[in-house]
Amino acid sequence: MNRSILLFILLAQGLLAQHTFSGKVLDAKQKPLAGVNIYLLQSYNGTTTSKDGTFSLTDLPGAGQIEISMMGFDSQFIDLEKTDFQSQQTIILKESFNTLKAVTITAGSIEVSDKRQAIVLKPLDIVTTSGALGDVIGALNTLPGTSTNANDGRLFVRGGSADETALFVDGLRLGSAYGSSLSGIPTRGRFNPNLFKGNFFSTGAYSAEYGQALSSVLSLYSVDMPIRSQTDLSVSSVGASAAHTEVWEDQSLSTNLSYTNLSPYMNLVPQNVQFNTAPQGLDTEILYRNKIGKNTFLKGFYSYQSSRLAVERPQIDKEELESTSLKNDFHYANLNLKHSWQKKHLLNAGISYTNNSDHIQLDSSKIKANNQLAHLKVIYQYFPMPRLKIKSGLESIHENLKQGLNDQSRFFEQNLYAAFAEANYHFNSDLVLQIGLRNSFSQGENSLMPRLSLAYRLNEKSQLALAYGDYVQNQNPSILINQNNLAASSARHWVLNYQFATKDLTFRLEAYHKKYDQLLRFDESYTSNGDGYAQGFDLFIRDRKSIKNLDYWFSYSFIDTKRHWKSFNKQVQPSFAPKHNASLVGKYWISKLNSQLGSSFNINDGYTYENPNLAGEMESKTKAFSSLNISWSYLPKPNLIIHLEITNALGRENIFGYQYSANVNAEGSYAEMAIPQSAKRFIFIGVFYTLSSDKKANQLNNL
Amino acid sequence: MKKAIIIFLGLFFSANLSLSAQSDFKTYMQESIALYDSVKTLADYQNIANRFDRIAKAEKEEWLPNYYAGLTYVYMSFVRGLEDDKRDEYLDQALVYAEKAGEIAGNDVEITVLTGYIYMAKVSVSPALRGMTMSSKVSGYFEKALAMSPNNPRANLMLGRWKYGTAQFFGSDVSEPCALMQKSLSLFEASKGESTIMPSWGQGQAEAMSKNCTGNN
Repeated sequence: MNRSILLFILLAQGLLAQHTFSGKVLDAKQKPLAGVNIYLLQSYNGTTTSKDGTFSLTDLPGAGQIEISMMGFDSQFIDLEKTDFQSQQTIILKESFNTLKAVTITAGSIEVSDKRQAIVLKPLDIVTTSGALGDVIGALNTLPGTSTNANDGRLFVRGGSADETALFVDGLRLGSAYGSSLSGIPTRGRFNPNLFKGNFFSTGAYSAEYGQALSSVLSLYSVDMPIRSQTDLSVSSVGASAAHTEVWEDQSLSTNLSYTNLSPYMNLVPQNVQFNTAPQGLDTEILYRNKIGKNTFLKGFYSYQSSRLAVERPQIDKEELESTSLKNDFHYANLNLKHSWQKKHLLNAGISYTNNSDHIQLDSSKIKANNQLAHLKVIYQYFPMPRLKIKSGLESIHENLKQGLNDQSRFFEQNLYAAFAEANYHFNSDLVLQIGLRNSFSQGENSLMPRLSLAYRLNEKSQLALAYGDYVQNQNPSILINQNNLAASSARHWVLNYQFATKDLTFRLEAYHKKYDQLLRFDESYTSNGDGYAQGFDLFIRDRKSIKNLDYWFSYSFIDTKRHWKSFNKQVQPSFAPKHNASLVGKYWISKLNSQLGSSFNINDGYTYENPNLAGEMESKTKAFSSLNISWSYLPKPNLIIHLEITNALGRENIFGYQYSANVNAEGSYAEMAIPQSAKRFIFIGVFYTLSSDKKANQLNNL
Repeated sequence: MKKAIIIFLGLFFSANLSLSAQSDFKTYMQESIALYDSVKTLADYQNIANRFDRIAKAEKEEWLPNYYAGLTYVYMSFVRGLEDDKRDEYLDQALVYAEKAGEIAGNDVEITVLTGYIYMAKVSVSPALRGMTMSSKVSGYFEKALAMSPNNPRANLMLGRWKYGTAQFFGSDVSEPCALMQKSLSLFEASKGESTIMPSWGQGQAEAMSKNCTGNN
């Protein structure tokens, strides 16, 4: 009897737990992997590989599965039934594909986010860039590919006019994206940078998702769910603001009210322009966030802004000063719904509406303009596997313009419909290809636009990227209102990018070529038979390791551009695109003083202009532009920030061009008058205070 | 006799087979937790993390193995001499476990403290770059934990630690963080001796930090 029991035990043990599984785990380069988890599924029986990659797992049954897993590698499963326990196992684990570690497309685009360590700009940089005065656009103007036009304030990208850059908020068009201003008085971006968690700035060859932008796209991403309720108050030399955020379980509401009035400031600091009404305005913003269940997120945004100013300025052919006043009212609303399911599908549906009204009084003439823009967009994204992303979408844009001059008025409207699809595929962690196609229909014209980008990682730190794209953009409604049969302008972009990046050092070199076609011309009547090109290269270096506590970046852009447009007879270099552009931005943290010192320096080789006294077109150039800005931010307490900033601290008298008389004077020439900056320098001082249950929060936390 | 042997064998094998029985779960958890006392190297931590990972995969209804695996990865991120990227990888892995634990247990004070701890460790990887933007997340989690359970020693300790660091940075008063840490110390004392697999770490930290407080005042 004993024998049979013994036999039974032996058999049972043989079946259940007698085997030993041992060997070595290596990576794809045959290097031993330590710390690998090797275990029998559905049991606690397991082991960890030692330093040399070896392991031995005992007490195994004859059947079942073994998992071999390690952070950052694809797991392997081994069937015990098929295993030869006598021999030593050699297991090779492959590194798993990780979107965060894989190569990304860098050609033509600059992402401002906290997602990656090595990037060009962080959201926090937007508000701490000296000279930007808390304006998103001001900070972006220190990046490669842009040309500073300090008397305008808008974005000018790679030889493109400001109209050629389209702005988006959460993927939806923002109409009248800059505050209304009078010529020669710089404008700003519409919104407070604290509303955005990051942005995507493309200076060329961007994705099929975007259209109606010949040169550039700036896409701003609004903040997600705030973490806590807080109140922010600020007082500055130009106004005051109050903001409050209330957070509930799954919802939040943020409101912001700010009032700006430059009149006390302008009374103290002399201006080059005589203001009858100093710039003043009221801004309100409301953001609503709602997390509906686990997979649905709703974002709502509404802003109303009202501003006015009035100036008296000399005009070359007028005895008296010319007086101009402007009153602007702006509404923007945006609703965005995001729904995901099965971790593989993402649906985005959104609608935005902009309504912008300008009332201008020019001497005795009353000019009115009202722009409306509505954008409806639906995007569906599908992620069948980590290395493949498919994005497709439909959109429609309706735009209208109503203009009035004294008693007369006129109206124009247009619709645009577009469909796009794009696939992004990682062949491996080092090679990614993105192919897109966009088709748009507007003004009876159909345009098919291919887009392509490719990025290849050369080694851990550097990569090469190439991008190509075709773009069209309708003529500006203020032109189409005169003549609505004008074909859209088009552009073709080529971008080649090299990037070297470590955590503390970024080096970027990008070369581009852009070909314009069907640019707007005026020759008795409007036509769109102009053309042009822009080519050059950008250099960007950001370094925060060489000098302790100092973080700086340098950008240089070389732009060679000419265009046959407006009423010029041949191709000319436009006034807004200087050939050489450079900026240097530095931030130095002094911990003893709880202070950050900032400085930025912008320089270019001057703006071209047309001098009727000389032969040729756009044959002259102003003297070089330069501006040195300095700032000091002091944090005496965690929830209090005191900020001082001076733009053009050296008070350089920059000239942006010349105005010429229409008539020849006694000496036989056309008299000229320089176009200066509206003020020599600008001084800002502000105090920002945050109230919350956590006394540590400050206004930078929103970023 | 024969019967007895068969019963014995039956018990023996069923014990081997049904590892998911509660007593084994508890025993293996206790064994694994006990390993923290003898940790010397990163490899030792990895070994513990792997153990918890195995339990987590076998016991899909239990949040504790995921919790401890996450906690172990936080400890791993603090091991000296690691590259910043590696530390971030460990902390991202810790977040994955904390999220899994949260999916099983729902809103739990210990998981909330752990999540705050992970972000605190993330800030410590690069204080200059992350301090300003991520610190509200850290204190947000610790405050939330304290609100959920005002007498949780780890919620008191971690919020106190975090506030202490900030107060030191700004050279301001440390009495509030010190009071929190003192409170955590007495809470640790009160809960001493309860042998369980529930989270119990932190007393050492509380003692060390409280010494700073008494030294300063």
